[in-house]
Parts: sequence; structure tokens; C-alpha cells
Amino acid sequence: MKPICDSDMIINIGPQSPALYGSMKLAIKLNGEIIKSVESVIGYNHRGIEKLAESLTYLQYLPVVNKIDYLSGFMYMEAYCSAVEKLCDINVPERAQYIRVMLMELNRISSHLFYLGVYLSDLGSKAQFYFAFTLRDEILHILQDICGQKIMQNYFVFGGVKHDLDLNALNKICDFCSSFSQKVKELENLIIDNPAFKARTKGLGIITKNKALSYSLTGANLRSAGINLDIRKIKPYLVYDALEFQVPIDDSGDCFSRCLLRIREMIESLKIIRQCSRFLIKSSGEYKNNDVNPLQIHPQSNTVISHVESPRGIISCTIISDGSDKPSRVKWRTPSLYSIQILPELLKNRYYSDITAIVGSLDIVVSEADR
Amino acid sequence: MSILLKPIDTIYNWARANSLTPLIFAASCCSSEILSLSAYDNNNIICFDNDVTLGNPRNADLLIVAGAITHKNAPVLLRLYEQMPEQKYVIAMGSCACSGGVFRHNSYTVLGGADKIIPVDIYLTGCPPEPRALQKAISKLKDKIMAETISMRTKYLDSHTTDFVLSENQEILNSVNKQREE
Amino acid sequence: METEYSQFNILNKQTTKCGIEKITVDKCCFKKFISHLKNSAEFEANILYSVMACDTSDCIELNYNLFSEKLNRYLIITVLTDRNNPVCDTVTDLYKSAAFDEREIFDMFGVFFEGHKNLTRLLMPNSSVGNPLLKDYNFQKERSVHYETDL
Repeated sequence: MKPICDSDMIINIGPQSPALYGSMKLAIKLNGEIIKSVESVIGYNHRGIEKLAESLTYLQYLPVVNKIDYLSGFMYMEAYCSAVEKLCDINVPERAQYIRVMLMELNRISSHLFYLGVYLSDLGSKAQFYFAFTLRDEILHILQDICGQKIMQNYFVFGGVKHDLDLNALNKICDFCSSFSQKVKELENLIIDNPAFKARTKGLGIITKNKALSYSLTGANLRSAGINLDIRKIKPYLVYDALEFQVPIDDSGDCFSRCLLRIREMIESLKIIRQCSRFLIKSSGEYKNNDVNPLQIHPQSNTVISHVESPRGIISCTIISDGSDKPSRVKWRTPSLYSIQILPELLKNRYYSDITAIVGSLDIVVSEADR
Repeated sequence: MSILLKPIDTIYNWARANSLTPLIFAASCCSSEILSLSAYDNNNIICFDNDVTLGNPRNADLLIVAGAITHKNAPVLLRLYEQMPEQKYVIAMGSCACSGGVFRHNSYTVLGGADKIIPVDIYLTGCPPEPRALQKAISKLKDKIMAETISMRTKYLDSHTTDFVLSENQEILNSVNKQREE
Repeated sequence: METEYSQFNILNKQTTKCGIEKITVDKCCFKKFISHLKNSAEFEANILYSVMACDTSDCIELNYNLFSEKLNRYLIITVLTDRNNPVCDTVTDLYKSAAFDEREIFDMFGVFFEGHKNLTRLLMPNSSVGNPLLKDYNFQKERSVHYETDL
């Protein structure tokens, strides 16, 4: 059948859209239903967080760090706190390290549940959205009892955590672990046995090994292409070298395997939480380094980098100090910026209806890319 | 005259207050709280589920501005507001949309709140506000709508003044910048 | 490994506080050095984590964060450019992830990268003037914004 019209059409999926995860623009050139080229425009959410650090002291900058990515606030706090602790030679006691690891893994589970709920509801199944979000709500209530707020908790300080965990909170976490381990198996079976989900995502958006390394993807996007790179295993920080867990890898590199890997990561995070809570129930110790005076941080001229594995990839925080009480330059390397870069190549010569499946599987948070 | 208009007012206000269709302008962090609300909204105050009209300004009455507004995002917000038909109401959700929040003084791109551009009806502060606080804000908006009269609304909109200028014309922008430098 | 590096003009070599090596290279041959590190069988720096710029008072410093999966080692390559007229070579033909990084440095610091295919502003609006992350950026709150018609 001859095509009716041969010229290209440009469509904007604009800065305000319920289909995209934040304020981002995709200008798509279409020929019929097939995408010819995509151009992405970001910067609608650029709040100037790196410049803000030059006019605030080290302690005043700490609450701002939570707000870079609203889904993984603990990871950003850990990256900033450990960079400042390396700069000033501050020791973190062991109990505080276990508390930090446990809360970061809870944060990882809640972020993956958010991703699952939104991704599955965009692909059409509304029931999974409610299922995932009620599970996420249980975690947020536990965090509210411990830290005082549901998201953007502001709980880590230089040298430890703000206050100690008591037995009540630890019992709630253990109850949550035992109830969640059955529900996550249900979630996994939902995806593996679902022919509609497989037809929409299998074989789509394939990322090969060389492409993934060249675009410097990290996290589950890289591990689904077959490369085993997890900062928690190769360069362990805090107490990850004393904990037993595995890192799930897959070979196919398509949207289906990215979604499945994130569910498997949730199962591994549960193992870590159980080991940490066992240690915390038995042990007793300091939760904060009491020799630190956070109002008097005047480090010498140095450069430090710290790396943390977040649900989306690898975060790194670089601080350059110059002897005063304010940093001279703070640089954040965020993983979503590099996931947005690979979109034009993945969407080329695909159908228009494949956009939600491919864009959603990469787990992009635009306020993290814009900083 | 106003006694004659009172039953008409009541019917109009009752119809408007109980059928609010939202348009969500989700710029940053507070958008996750709106999604959490739609997941456990057991009072059904607002209809988030309607897939046909979600995200379309031509069908919406209520604009929820959630998150920090930057220089690049300001024309987008103004254009969305202009595309909505009358009567329209605006809720500014979160500290950044109310007054700039953490970024007010030291950031070079964040505006000091959404009311520099559009008139706002309800200010909901918090960083981020609890999802049930958004339910309470919507019920306060309903009380406000029920107490309106037809002539009062235009006076309220006219009283919104701002010294922020959005214009296509480069000469107007240059003259505003020169005035500010003096 | 030390003798091979003498053919590139290495100006300085130091170790930062967290144990990562930082090598300062001359601007004219840093690209050959990076491509040598990428293709060499023993170092094989196959991931470029990020490109970072920093404004010191005499010059603008560019830092390339490389990681070698084989040796499990980080490495930072530093290049200094002139502050008044900053120009540098692009590395987008070696690592594709540098495209957005270099656009952001052009936006924030004003460094011009030769050979980059699409060097435009990334985070600030197209009609803005000045480079925000320089230390002498005029920091006044704007009171007007261009209402752009092609959104």
C-alpha cells in the first residue's frame, strides 16, 4: 500500500506530560508511526545546587543534599558525609555504619517499588500501581517513626547518625522483612508469567556491552548488558565487605531484563537488612563520633571523591576545599544524565508506541540529571 | 441585586466545587507526594484516574504547582495557565512553589515562588507536605469556592500584582533590566 | 608503565587524599595520552565517569575521571586551560558519554571544545548571558525572562 504522505512530522512530548518522569522535553521526528530521530532537552529543573555550595558552609549544605533526588535521599547524604569525613579524617563508629547501611537498603527497596509501580501503570496495569505503592507506604511509615519524616529525612551527620535506633524500630523492621519476602516473590511471578508484559518489553531497547561502557551507564542498566560492576563489591565502603549478598546479572540487555533485575536486587537488599538488624539487636556502641564539632570544619586544600551505589547507578561527589569554612567547588556525578544521553540511539527506527516502554525501563529521574 | 443573584451563586459554586479536574505541573520533589496521594486517596476528593483528560489543560479547573519554578520553566507554566478556561484555581504545593524554599536566596535560577507569575489561591507549605495535607488544602479550596460571588472573583484576579516580566520583545526586557540596574 | 609515559608531556603527578592518582598533562597531547590509556592492553581505561571543571584564579582546570575495570583502579587526568580564552579538544570520539558533560562545561564555564558536534547550552535557557559557575559571575536576581515561542 502506498503511503499517503511522505514528509516528516515533528511532535513534542513537552515539558509537562504525565508520561515522562519530570520536566523534560523530547522532540520526535516521525514518519508515519516510525521514529526517525529524537532530540532531548533538559534543564527545566536546574536549581543551581553546585553553585549553592560555594555560599554555604559545610554544615549548612547538608539539608540541601537531600533534595537532589527525592527517591534516594540517603545515598546522597552518604556520598556527601563520607567525602567530608575523608577530608577531615573523621572516624565513624561501627554501630553507626550498620545503621547507615540498613537505612540505605530500605531506601533502595522503596525506590525500586516506586519505579515498578509507575512503570507497570504506564504500560497499562493499574492494579500493580496500588500494590507497589501500598508496600512502599509501609516502608515510609517505618522511616517516619525513626527519622521524623517520610522523604528527605536529613538523618546522617558528620561522624554518625542523629540519634540511636531502639528495639521498637528494629522489631518493626524485622516484621516488615518477613511479610515483604512473600510479596516480592508475588511481584516477580507477576512479571515472569505475564504474556502481555513480555510481548511489550522483550527484545526491545537492547543495549550491548560496548554501547553501555561507551555511554558510561552504571547500575542495573549496565548489569543487564552482562557486565558485573557494583561498587559495593569491587570497592566496598562502610561495612559492605563484611556482609553476604549477591549481585544479579543478566545477558540480554532489553527492557524486560532491566525490570526483572531490579526486583531481584530487592530480594538481595532484604538479606542485607536482616544481617544488619541481627547485628544491631546484639551489639551496643556509639552511634555518633562525639569528638566532632560540625560548626568548626576548616579543612586544608585538598580534593576528595566518594562513590556510592544508588538505585539508578553510581553517584560520585567531588569536593575541592581551599582552607576556608566553605567548599570551593562541589561536583555531583548523577547517573540519570547518562541514561538520558542514550535515548536517541535506543529510540531510532522504533514505533511511537514503544516510547513509554523504553523510557520507563531506564529509571530516569529528571531532577537528578538537572541538579 | 445581590439577593437575587444568591441562588444562582449557590448553584454555580456547588457545581464547581464538587467537580474539580486537576492538572498537575510536577516540576520536582513534591510530585512523588501527589502520586502517593492518588494511591491511597480513600475519600475520593479529587479524580486522578481519568485517563482521557489527565494532563490536558483544556479540560482542567485546578492547577497544582508542585516543585521549584526556574527561569526555563516559567514560560511553560504561564502558557499552561493561559490555556485553561475560566474559572480556574491554583494551589501552590511545597515551600519552593510558595516562596522559593531553600533556594530562594543563593540560587541564580529559582524564582521566589509561583505567585510571581500567576495568581495563587491556596498556599500549602512543607518540604514536602504530607499527602493528607493536600487533601485538607483541597477541602479548604472548596470552602473558598462556596463562599464566592460572581463579581468578587474578577476583583481578586485584578488585585494580583507582580514585578516579574515575561515578554517576547527584547526591547521591553532590556528596558526592565536597565531600570533595575539604576 | 613509567617509561612509556615519558613521551607525553606530564607536568605533575600527585596522589589525592583518598588515594587516587592525579596526573597533570600538557594541553597539546592529553588526548593522545587518554587514547593510549584506553587502548593499552595493561591499563584499558574503558569507562569515563565524568568530566569536571574547576575555576581557580589563574586558569580553568579540567579533570577527566577514568576507571579501569581490569585493574580496578581510578585515575584522574588534569588539563589546564587559559582563563580568558578557554579552548580544548573534545573526547567525544573516544567516549560518547562526554557529549553532555562538555556541553555543561561550555554552559557553566565558557570552555569551547573543538570538534564537538552540537555545542549548545544544556541547562540554562538559550537566551541567557554569562557563565554561572565562574567565580566572578554577576549574581543578581533577574526580574525578566524571555517568553520563548518555540518551547
